[in-house]
Amino acid sequence: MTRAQMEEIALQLAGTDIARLDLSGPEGQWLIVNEAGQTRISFVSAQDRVTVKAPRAGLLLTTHPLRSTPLVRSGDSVKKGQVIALLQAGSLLQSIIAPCAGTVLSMPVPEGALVGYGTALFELQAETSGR
Amino acid sequence: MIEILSSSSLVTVQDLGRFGALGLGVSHSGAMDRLALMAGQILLEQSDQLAGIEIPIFPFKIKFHQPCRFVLTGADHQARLGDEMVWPWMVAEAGTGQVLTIERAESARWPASRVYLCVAGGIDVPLALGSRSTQLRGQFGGFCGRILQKGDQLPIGISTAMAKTVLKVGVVPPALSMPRLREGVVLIRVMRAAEYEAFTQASREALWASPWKITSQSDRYGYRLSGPTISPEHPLELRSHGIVPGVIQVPHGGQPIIQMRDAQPSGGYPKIATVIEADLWRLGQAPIGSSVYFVEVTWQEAVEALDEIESWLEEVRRMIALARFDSNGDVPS
Repeated sequence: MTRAQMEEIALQLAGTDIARLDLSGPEGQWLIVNEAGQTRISFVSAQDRVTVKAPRAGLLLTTHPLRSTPLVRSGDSVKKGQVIALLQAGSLLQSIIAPCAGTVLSMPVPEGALVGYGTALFELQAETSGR
Repeated sequence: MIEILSSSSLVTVQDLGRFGALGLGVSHSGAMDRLALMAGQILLEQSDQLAGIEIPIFPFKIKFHQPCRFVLTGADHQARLGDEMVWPWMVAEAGTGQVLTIERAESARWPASRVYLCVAGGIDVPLALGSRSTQLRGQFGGFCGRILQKGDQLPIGISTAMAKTVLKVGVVPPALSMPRLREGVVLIRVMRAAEYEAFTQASREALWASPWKITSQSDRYGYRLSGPTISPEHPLELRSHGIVPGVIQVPHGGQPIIQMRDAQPSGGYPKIATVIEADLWRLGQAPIGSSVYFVEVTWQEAVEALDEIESWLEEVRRMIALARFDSNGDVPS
């Protein structure tokens, strides 16, 4: 896929009520967001994409037990070392830490789900991207 | 060393308390929520006998003059280290010169009033009669026997844990894992006290049936409650006798007073009930203006309630040890 091709698709989308087009391939992920005819194209290179995996088994908490708002949401920018989720095992809470600065692209696991070692919890776009 | 930057009142150094000195007229003192203080010390992989700082008034601000691992337990709050968020009941690490600011929580899922700051190595004030707790009435113990003031520089003990990597772990607060509520109101377990039978039947029924509001005349010495009037069958005059935290006295006005950690060791008002030891931490966190219900338990149930607290602490110790084991990479694959 080239940017020119994506711009052509964006033009087609502008006249429709399709709000979002997500196109993933080996080179990365294209995203077209269509808000009332205004389209935005973004691209995340596969090299800039960081998957945060569960370091152990536990229940995934995206919100601190004492709070009602999530630690981070999809689309939030995060700092390196920031706590982005908690893994609960019994009474223990283990921090899931952002390995780099960047933006949260997606959180595939729902709140409270039981995850195993190595389960992908977050997709981040690393800030080092030159774009 | 840490330095107090805010001029907040009522902040004190506390450990679990000073025991064995009631006979000298010296009250227990110690953390109002001992479970929060103990959990904080366990999270830092150190003795739960070390001292921390009890913070009932916000904002509270300190500066670290050395690298220091710490944890904030107890009531929910908003805390920042520099411009980074610090999560409640989770271990964090400060560098030299960093400022920690603790403010009131925006909205609390668990209404509670006291935050505990525990640091690796503990707050290293001298022991007085076997404890580091502040004895406000006697003006000894803690830091210079008084509440902390702006500019105070508190020494931190030597921490063996600092040699290891930081465990960025936390625990689920016990108020969430062991909730005790009736219709959303905190339920406090009590046993009948010596003069229970001397109160009118209507008074005794009201004790169990009514919610009791914690009035603004409540502090570390005692909680003054407001609710239905509690009256004895006949006027009661007692000589002063020994009392301990948890004792619920009824003075002539008929509005009960619960003795808390700084309570004087003797008193002469008749006692209608006693809060069991296992629920003192829960009561110690109940905010002024909130209400509690009393529910009667037997001696056996009171002992079992203590066992429940002990097993919770034991579980936290076990999980922290396990997390340390994991982090060392010693787990067989």
